[in-house]
Amino acid sequence: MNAIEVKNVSKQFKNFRLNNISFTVESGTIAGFIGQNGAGKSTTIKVILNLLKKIEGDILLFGKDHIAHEVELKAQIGVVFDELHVPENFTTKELDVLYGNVYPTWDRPYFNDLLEQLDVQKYDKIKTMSKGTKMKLALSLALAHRPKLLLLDEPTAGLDPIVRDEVLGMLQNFMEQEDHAILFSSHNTTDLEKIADTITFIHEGEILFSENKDDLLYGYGIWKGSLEEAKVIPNHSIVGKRDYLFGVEYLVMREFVNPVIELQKPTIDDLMLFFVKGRQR
Amino acid sequence: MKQMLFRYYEQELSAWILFTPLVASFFALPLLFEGGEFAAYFILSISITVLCATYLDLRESQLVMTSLFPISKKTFFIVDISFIGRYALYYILYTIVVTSVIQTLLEQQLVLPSAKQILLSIVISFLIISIFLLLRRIKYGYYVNLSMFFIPLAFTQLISLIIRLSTFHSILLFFSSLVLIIIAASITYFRENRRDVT
Repeated sequence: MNAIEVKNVSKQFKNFRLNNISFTVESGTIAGFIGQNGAGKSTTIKVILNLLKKIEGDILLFGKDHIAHEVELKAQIGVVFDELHVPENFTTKELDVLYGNVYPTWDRPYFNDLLEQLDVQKYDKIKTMSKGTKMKLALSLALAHRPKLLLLDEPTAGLDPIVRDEVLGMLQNFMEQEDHAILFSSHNTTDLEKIADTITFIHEGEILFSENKDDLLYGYGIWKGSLEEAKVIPNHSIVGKRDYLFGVEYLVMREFVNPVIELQKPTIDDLMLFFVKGRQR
Repeated sequence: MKQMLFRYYEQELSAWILFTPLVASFFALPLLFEGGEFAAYFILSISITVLCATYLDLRESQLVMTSLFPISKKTFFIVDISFIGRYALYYILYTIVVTSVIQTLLEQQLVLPSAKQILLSIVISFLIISIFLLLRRIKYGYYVNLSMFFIPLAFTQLISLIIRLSTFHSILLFFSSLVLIIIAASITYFRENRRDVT
């Protein structure tokens, strides 16, 4: 079953358009959502949440329309933005009371466990917390009503490696349930290489690819060599090209290249770079 | 859920809600010499302006958080209207009671509020609430909060005009302001449903 189904969705701003995007996130998977700053990642997440109103297209969450079943679906979604959107003068304890009244499925003992596990103080005001602590609190708030879907918008941005590792650990625990799913937007592709099952790449408001991570990493290869040597690479296999000091670098589709030719495994960063800067025209 | 939200906003704004009419009453003391009715309208216009400005500002500042809650926009709209409506009513009662008591003490005889005073108090409340509902989402609507100072000043001019109206004209004004607030509330409801939360 698809946890998220985005079909031909568009949203128009003054200087930016989310243009006819489509992708799906299956239950039981973590979908990495990558793209440059301003590519449309946050906009897409906000459109899914109906914070921004789409101008066309359909969005289904667990098979249900995201607007017609908005209240019911929001009870099943946990959201983390790159900033914590709660009253700054509140303490964690006060947030616990507020969220407990709002979410029918709020699990107070679990929330307290999460806080303890992540070392978040209950009686500290939000405004006195560090960015890392705020992010850990945001994740605890997102998880404590036992959602089935997590929408994370740059949750690890600006965090130190130790906190990042704790956050990723929490997400992996969340995925122990089969019907859970995560849409994880990030610049930090190493995080996604660790935990994502699929990668969706958005660029200038358009989806460039949305594929299984292993298919991407093993389906493509990087060839490096001089211009003379480059003749062995069939033209139709080349996805992107970059010039470098001693020759040329190609991102190629492995299936079209002779298996005896040695290719390097690309990273997600490489894929982003080739798709954005080195796409063949 | 409505009760819970109501209590939550009440708790957040308790200081403003309680102290504004008291502070306004203090400033309105000299106006008592011009007549209790005038002072009552002055206190009322300050109190309702501050109520609308602080409540709508609080709602706006927490909009991302509340938009993520599994609560319908209709519920929020009902809470908004009933919150402002309920406190506007309390302020009307407060101003009427306080000015009647002071007038009674000053004149040494029982002074009861007139029907016209009650009608005009409601008119002032409706007008101020409508202004806030209609203007808060315009491009520079955020600055409507500055109206905390300007609306009561503007209303002192208006009050000196409407205070001279006959009961019949007061009734006409009441129905006009009723229509205005219904229009403002409807526009707010549809606009809030369609707006982008950023």
